[in-house]
Amino acid sequence: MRLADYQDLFQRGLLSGDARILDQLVDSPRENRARLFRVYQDAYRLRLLDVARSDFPVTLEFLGRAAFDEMATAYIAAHPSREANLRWFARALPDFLAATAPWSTMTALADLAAIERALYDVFDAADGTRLALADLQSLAPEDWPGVVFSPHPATRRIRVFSNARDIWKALSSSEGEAAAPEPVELAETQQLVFYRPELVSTFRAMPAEEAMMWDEMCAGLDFAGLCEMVATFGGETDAPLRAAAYLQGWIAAGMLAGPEAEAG
Amino acid sequence: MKDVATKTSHRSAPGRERTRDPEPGPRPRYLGFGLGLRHQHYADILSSSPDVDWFEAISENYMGEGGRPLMVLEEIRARYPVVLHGVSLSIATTAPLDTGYLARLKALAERIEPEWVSDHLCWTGVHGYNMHDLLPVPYTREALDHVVDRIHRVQDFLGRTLALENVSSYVSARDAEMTEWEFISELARRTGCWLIFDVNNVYVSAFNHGFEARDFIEGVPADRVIQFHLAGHEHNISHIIDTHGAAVLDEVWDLYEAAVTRFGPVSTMIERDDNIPPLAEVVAELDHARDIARRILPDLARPLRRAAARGE
Repeated sequence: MRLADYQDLFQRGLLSGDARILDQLVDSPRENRARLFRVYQDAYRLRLLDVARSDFPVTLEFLGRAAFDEMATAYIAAHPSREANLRWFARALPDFLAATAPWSTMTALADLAAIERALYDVFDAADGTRLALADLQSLAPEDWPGVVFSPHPATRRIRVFSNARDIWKALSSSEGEAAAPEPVELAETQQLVFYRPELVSTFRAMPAEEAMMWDEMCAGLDFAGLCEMVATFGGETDAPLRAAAYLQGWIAAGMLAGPEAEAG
Repeated sequence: MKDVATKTSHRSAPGRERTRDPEPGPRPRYLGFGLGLRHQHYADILSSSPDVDWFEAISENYMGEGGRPLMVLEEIRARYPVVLHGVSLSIATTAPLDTGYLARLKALAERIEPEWVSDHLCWTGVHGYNMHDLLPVPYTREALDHVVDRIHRVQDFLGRTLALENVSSYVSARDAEMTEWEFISELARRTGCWLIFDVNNVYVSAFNHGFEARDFIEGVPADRVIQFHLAGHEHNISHIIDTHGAAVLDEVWDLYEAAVTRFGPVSTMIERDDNIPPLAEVVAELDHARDIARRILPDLARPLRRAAARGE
């Protein structure tokens, strides 16, 4: 058999349990080929399962080992790895959970996984300079309206529909044993922002107005546009002051990219 | 068990080979006794500069956007010789060559200036998928031609001679036309590539396929072997699963003795991929390898680490 066909069959055997590869193999002196090929099948499944478990420890805690493994096995079947780096293998897990029954019907599950992914992404994100207040001091007042800010690479924004944030806090608490609250749907979606002030990733909830301004900033709107959006969202009075206050908070937390990082 | 001898009798049919004269660089120097670099040991290595002659770094761990791992590797490189060892080259795949991967590997090699760059004789996937495993090559003439061609292209791209390691394997192809060591020897002869002799992998594969590990040792060209890997594994009665996650076993030490006897002074290292113990424990295991090698080669010169490091 040609090498290309052999590799095609071998891979089918790993991905879907297709047994045709066995015709191309021989028994060993001590063991039959099906059992020997299963070493590769098991290794493939266990390796990817391990990645899912270690990338989503709180989701694992929330679901319990058996239910998590069942879910991750379905994910592995639906998302064969196309990445050279295992780091990216389980990245689509939150989207899978949000879109696939029965997991999509379980309150807080996909949200919890989305929180874990955002924390991991922020932890792993490229370093880059951070905007400092001093960078803005050279701006003339007439320059301000046209200034475009951009987020530091180590930031992420998500919205959750449940009390996943509280569940995450309880399950990841270092004291352990903290009883997680019952999962409930929130009346209003909660806006979360993830960032990495030092070497540790963290996140907080954002008021709706601040989240709106953050998203518009990420979309490239200049400061004048941001002030207008804030005025429309929360009222004309003090709108530029509110916008400036949000901006100041982001700068203090190292959430904005510095001048060099903006280039290119 | 298949009858290998009858199937290999006509394997070097003249005219079939697309061999061109390999232009191997000079044999890399002997480095002594090293360790696989693991992130669990970063802090200890940097604070204590342990008595280890060199380190082997997993290439893919340092091919990202930068950040702390690469800084640590550069710091270690300033103190010790380093070799780069990859797991994703997939030299034997029939999928197109991944030039993006090769470009990142080349950039890393230019930055780190390793003693050599290595990967495994295996494939990792086809059709754009990655099985994240070191999958076995069927030892056929067609596969040999294919891999020889790929090695030439990779060596041209990287501008350096590659070193390839034998993997642990569990299945044998029905259509195999030669033994693993015959396949490897031909690869080395036709491409000039260097070989890493993983003692544990030879032990595991010999048990699983029922060949004599010593036939493998006798069968590969001694002048191409530039590195030994030592590791542990898991015994499952009818087959052995290679975990590289345990201490080196007595049978593997015995085979190491035989390898040192045949191959002479070859840079040796302990490769632990799982259940990473404290640094002192692997350093002690490395001392055991040193003792064995010195018993067989009493005048084994021990390279001085400071002189061996970059900027000597």
